Amino acid sequence: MTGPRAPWVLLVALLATGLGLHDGFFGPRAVSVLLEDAAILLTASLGAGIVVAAGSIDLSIGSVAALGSLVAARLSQSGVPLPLAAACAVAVGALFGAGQGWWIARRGLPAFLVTVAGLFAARGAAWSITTGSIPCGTEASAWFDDATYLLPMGYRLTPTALVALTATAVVALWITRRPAGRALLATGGDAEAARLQGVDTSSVVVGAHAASGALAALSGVMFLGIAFAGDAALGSGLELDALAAAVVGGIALSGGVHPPLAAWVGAMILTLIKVLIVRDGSLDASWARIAGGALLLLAAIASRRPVASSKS
Amino acid sequence: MFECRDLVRRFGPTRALDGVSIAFEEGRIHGLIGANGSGKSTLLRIIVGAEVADTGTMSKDGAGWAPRSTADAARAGVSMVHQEVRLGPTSTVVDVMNLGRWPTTRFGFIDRAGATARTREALRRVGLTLDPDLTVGILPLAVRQRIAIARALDAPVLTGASRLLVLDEPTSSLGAREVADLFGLLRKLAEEGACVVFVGHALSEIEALCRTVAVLRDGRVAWRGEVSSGGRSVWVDAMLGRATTARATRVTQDFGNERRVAVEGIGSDTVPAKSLDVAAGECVGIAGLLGAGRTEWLRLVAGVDRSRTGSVAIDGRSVPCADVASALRAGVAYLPEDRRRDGLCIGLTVRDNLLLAVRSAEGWWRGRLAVEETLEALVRRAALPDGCLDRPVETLSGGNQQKVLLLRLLLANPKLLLLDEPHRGVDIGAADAIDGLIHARRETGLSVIRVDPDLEALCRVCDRIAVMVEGVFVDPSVPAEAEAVRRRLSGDVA
Amino acid sequence: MTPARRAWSALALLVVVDLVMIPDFHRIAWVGGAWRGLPIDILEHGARLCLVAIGAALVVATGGVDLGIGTVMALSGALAARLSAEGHGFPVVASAAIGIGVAVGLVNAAMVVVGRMPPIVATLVPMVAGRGVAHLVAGGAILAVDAPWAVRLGSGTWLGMPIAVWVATGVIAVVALLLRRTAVGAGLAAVGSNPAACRIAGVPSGRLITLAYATSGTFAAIAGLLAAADVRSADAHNLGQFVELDAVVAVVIGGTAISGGVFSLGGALAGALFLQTLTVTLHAAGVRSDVAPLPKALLVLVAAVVSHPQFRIRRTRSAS
Repeated sequence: MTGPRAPWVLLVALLATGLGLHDGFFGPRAVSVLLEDAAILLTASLGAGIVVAAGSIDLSIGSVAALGSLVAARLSQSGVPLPLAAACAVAVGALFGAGQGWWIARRGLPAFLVTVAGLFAARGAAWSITTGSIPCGTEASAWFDDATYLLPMGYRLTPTALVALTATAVVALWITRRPAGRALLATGGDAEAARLQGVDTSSVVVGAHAASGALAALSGVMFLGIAFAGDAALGSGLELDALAAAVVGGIALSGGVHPPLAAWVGAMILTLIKVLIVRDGSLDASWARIAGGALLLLAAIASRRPVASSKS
Repeated sequence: MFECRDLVRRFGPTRALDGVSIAFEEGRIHGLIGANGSGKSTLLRIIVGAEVADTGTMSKDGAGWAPRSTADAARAGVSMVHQEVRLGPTSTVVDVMNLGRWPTTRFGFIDRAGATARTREALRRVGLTLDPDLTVGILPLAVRQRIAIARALDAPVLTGASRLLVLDEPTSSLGAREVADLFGLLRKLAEEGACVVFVGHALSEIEALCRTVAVLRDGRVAWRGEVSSGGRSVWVDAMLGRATTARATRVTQDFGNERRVAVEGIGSDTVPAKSLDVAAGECVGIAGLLGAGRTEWLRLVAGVDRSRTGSVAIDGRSVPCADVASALRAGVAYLPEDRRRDGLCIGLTVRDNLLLAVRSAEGWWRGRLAVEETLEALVRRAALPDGCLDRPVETLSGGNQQKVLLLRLLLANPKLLLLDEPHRGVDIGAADAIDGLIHARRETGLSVIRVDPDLEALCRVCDRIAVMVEGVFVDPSVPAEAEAVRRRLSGDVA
Repeated sequence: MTPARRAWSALALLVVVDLVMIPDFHRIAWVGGAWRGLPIDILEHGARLCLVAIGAALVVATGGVDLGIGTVMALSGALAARLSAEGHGFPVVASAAIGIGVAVGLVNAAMVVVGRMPPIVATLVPMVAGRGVAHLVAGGAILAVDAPWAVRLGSGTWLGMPIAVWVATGVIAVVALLLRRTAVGAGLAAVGSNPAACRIAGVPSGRLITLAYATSGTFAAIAGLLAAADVRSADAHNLGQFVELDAVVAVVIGGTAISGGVFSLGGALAGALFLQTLTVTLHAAGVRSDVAPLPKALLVLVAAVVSHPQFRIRRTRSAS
């Protein structure tokens, strides 16, 4: 499985399998549920993908998601309108991410350690708000309950799915059509070369981590749409699933590669596998994780860079 | 007119640049040559803003020149053309050409059409017509390099500023036709008024292309002038240094036809096969200009890089050159030229570094080795600081680090020692001590093959010199006299 | 002061603080043929973290990282529970559990050495897939482990000390002795310090790296056995969750640089005990267990800054 098309082929194959096995797999209800299921993982893996493409790594995503969900829930509970509460949560995530990026890019500390510290710090911060969960405001709950966006042919989107898809489009657009997106790939590909070509690489790394933090918090806010509450225990291990989705989607861990819709493809593949296995019923749900691991291995092998020739 | 005055740049105790003053005029191509470690790269990096000089000034177009970054320098018309522009593995030609200066629409999005048009235009200027959406990685090196030049030329320049293009060894991986094409392009650029600085190591290219030449040695300008007033032999002298003082009396020995080590036709896909015989106790120097392929060949002999052809035999017994550990066991040891990158584990103790080779040869599961007992005495004899055995190597001076690396190899009791620039970044005292350590072992039969850019030093310690030009030994047995070797190197011998 | 000694001093300081702050801390009583008290609890519960931290230290020394530790614990625990329930004796159960740990370690090493994959991704593979396998092994349920060996391993004592402490001490002593008596420890550090130089010096990097991952897998498997025996059950989902991160934190506190090279087993041990003591201290000091991760985050950052190469060189320069 090599080449940027492989994940797409796999996705299509999975969809075809679903269609073959189950009636109404593409029906309005099924599609809506699938997108809703994938929304949180998708949003988190967008951030993971950006950071990895910049040649770094972010292990704090799950904790930041929990923090984001609590911030939004607490604000909405105290009467702040939902959009504003969500924006605040996202801003907290972005600041948190930028802080991590600063330690990495400007102080030169290993990204692994800084974001492990971030993992503990964000979880601690979340738990200092509450150890349980905070229901969001009644207005927000009511809105989440009702709001769907009608599409042609009876298809509908929930708000979380809509936000996740919008975020996907924005990231894809940013990577392909903004100068900053191209600078991101150059930095991840070869930071020193990019610096010599005039790219401010440390700003790029700080920015990438800020984006990852913001998206992680956003994925936490989406949790409100499912559970109508923020939860301190949310998202443990989410960072690793997000990383796996990004790699499965074709983002190389060595940096510098980011197919525009990679995170979306990766998240959809992993979600579809889970849905198919659960729906099938004859297989244990654990097989979804095993399949995910196998895919991750294949994707990692496919994205290896050739060995550098040993030129003296 | 671009000028720098008294540039000094120190790295720790060594001076990469030691008071360099030089001027480049517009409309001309200037050659810059020098051996490894002469300070060329440092000078270039300072000029293009990738590094800052400790002291000294630069001026361009009559005003002071102190770029804070490469982007800053590019805006003022100064840019370096790297051998190729390396970016992400999926970067396209448009990406490379526009990185850091994308044309954008009103909303800050990339103006694809504009960028593509600009790329086409810039490529046309260097004589390329290709699809700007191709992935750069799949293009041949010569094309990638041309793209790098196009990028440098395409940098938007403040009005009134002149252009200065710096090319760092641009021909090293090009074929003859591609070199000719490149030279044509550079001449055209110079005619249009650009100032071109060309760093190379093939003297024939310098002669063919440049108007003026500057030779760097040990961080100083050793020779400067018009091409017509110099010549290959003059430059070789300037690069390698004339004998000033003889530090030690030299005793060369003639080993006649005796031979203990036979290197037969060692080569690979990129390194021409070569043979060399060495007698027990003999030291053979390999002389050649930068880029002659000396290091590459030594690494093949040592088993560091896979050899495709040839064999090494010591005392008539064949030495496996497939991997380092077995070559080491058979008695072949190699001292790499870059000790920080390829030699020492800088954070580990002197003891662990010293024992690395013995352990590799004898196995890691063995308990205390017999040699460990002798380490203290060894360290004392090499005049390393007292009690340094359990200190990290990074706390030692460059000279002492080099001694540690050499002692590591000697501890493994090699029969053939391959030395790649053992004096690099080492002060004179330590250099003499290193030569002394090697000499003592030669008396007990150690054979040595040595590479050194400093011809005088090489002639001082070697019994004979093998002259290598463009990957081939043109003469495997020149007497160890600098004059004779120089004549060989500049091709003045019938 | 060496980083390892710094970690031990930090531990000593924490213990002193505990002696002052926690009234019952010093009270160790002989009850029913065994010592009981807070410090004994710390040792008993810290034994697992000590084990995995030693394994992680070896992997980090080679410039790698092992994210599969917690998963291996879950796998080994689940397998032990399953085999135990099927009536197998301790020798079969233990060798199967440890065997799975070695196997995962070898797979990790193969991905890193032969597959040239970055250690983070390579060990992420078992981390993602492993718990799925553990679920399958356990048949999707939380299996009870009440065989005699589990009772003995989980709550038995010998010479007044918990068996878990003896197991960890014994295993760690064997490894420490091997590393000290042979050059393997130096080899691991060399590989992590400068892979290019090791290649040129003929160091068998691949074999050394394999050894490190295999050891880490083995120790994680033993820790999994201990954990399952401790709570008399194997929960494929929760057993050993996030232990790999705690192990890395212990290693870094112990003065091993995350980028590889110089490492210290003693330091890792001190780091693991420090983390365990800190947990107890925070709990006893009435700090809400909810904010407990915050001091941990601070610790990681401090340890990272202190072990940062630039900082280290400045220190050694000024010392010499």
